[in-house]
Amino acid sequence: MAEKASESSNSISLNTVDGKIFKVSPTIANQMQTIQSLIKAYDSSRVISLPHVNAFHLSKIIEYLEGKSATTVSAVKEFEAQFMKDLSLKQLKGLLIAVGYLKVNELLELMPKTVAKLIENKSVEFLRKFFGIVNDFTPSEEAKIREEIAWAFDGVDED
Amino acid sequence: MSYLGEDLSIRIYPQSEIDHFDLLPDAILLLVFNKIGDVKALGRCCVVSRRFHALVPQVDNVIVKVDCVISDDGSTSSNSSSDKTRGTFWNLFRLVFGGIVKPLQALGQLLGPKRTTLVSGSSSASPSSSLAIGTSEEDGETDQGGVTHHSPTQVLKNFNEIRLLRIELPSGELGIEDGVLLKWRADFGSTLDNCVILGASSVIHPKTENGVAFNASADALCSGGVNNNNGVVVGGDDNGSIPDSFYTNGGLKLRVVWTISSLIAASARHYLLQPIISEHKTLDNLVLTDADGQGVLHMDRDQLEELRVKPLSASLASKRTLVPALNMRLWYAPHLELPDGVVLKGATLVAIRPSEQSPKKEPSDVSWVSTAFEEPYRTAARMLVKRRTYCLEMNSF
Repeated sequence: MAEKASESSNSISLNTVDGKIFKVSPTIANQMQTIQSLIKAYDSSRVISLPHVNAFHLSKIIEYLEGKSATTVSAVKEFEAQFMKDLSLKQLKGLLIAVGYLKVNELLELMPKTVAKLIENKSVEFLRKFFGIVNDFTPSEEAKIREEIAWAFDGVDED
Repeated sequence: MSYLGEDLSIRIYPQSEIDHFDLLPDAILLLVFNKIGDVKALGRCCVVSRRFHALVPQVDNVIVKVDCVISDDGSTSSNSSSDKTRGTFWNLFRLVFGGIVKPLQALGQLLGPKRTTLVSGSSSASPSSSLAIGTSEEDGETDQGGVTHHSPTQVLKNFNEIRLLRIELPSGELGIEDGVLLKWRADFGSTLDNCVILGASSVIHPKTENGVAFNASADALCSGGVNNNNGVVVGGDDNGSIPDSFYTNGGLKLRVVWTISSLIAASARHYLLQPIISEHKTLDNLVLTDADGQGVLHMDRDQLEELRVKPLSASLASKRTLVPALNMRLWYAPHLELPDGVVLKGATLVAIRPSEQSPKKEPSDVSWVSTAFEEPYRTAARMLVKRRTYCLEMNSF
């Protein structure tokens, strides 16, 4: 593995959980804080294993970091919008976890904003479905909370 | 960050049919919640599950959109169209102390979605919860029965880590005529720190065919001013002085009314923020604005701390903070054309500071004046401060 990494003296090799090796430039790698600190801690020539990130998520992150750095402000906006649009809900969730693990700051700004937009006018039932959460309140507990925050149920979109 | 638990791998592989987004680390869920802002949406998140219920109160960025305002006269209004004024000076003057400013009676009654309370005595959650959702999905206006008002204080009581709080009123308090521009921005600590007011008797948009229709009656003073300036129509060609007619045809009086009205509105808003500020110690940025973009009251961390340490003094007359003795600087342009072609007629900028300045603030520094507003008004302010400065003083009120 060390041989592979040394093929290009500068690039950094990342090994995803499903066994794919990605070679990225230091500029890209350093935008993932988790990797940045690993590069500092270890010899940069060695392959960095990412046990919590799969190839799809890493490729999306690299796609984002490359896409947003190459263009003008308005083009970045457009690129970001398209990038988020292309993700299915399931991909969005998985990618968000990967982004959180790798600490990609710009995506940690963009993605929560996108998720917030998706859920801001939605009902509680929609939220449970969206987040895949099982209601663990007892009926009377839920009724009590709903009563306490009766002000929160105005202007909700239909699911 | 500590959320990187070892179970992450389980979460991603193997991918089951069900999305385990509920297993998203708390820190990431909080990032999402902080982007939501809207307090109602956050409230609904509380009902989702125990975990969400525990997380939401940790949100540090909250926006409260006030649905309706109960003003001093007891009427509920969600917009200010009912108290539009006639535009004559005397009418305005009367209204300063009567109706032009509808000082908010209390934030205690500000937030009031029109809906009935949940059916009482419902022991099972399902009918009660379907009722809540059901009524909100239908037209809220059709709700019968008592209207429940919830104050921002009540609504915010479960949030104990708010740092950024933005409260939005449904409309500005000042009943101004159509076409008249009036904007203010005020910074408060225990009392007024500074206030900037930008006004224009009319705004003419270049691409609007009927742009002239925007001319308010107050505009007459501008054409008077233009005539006195030997027919100079384009601003900037004059010497930056105020034409004599400004003093005689009501132009100055109107500006004074704008100034006093804005200060009353600002100090009334400030007064109402008190309970929120004392209850939310973690706040370090508080903005009270309105959907019209008329007024913005701002308090930063130091100013909030100042108010906590040194309580405000209230005005004897009404429920508002006492406005200290003031020094005001005024800039005026009969005709101010902005770079985008918009023309402000009778454009006026007023910069206000308490007479007792803290020594470190340089009185001739006008940078805070020209950055008080968003574009395009920022440019307007920047253009106006280059003109001749007129100084006024005002007693505490």
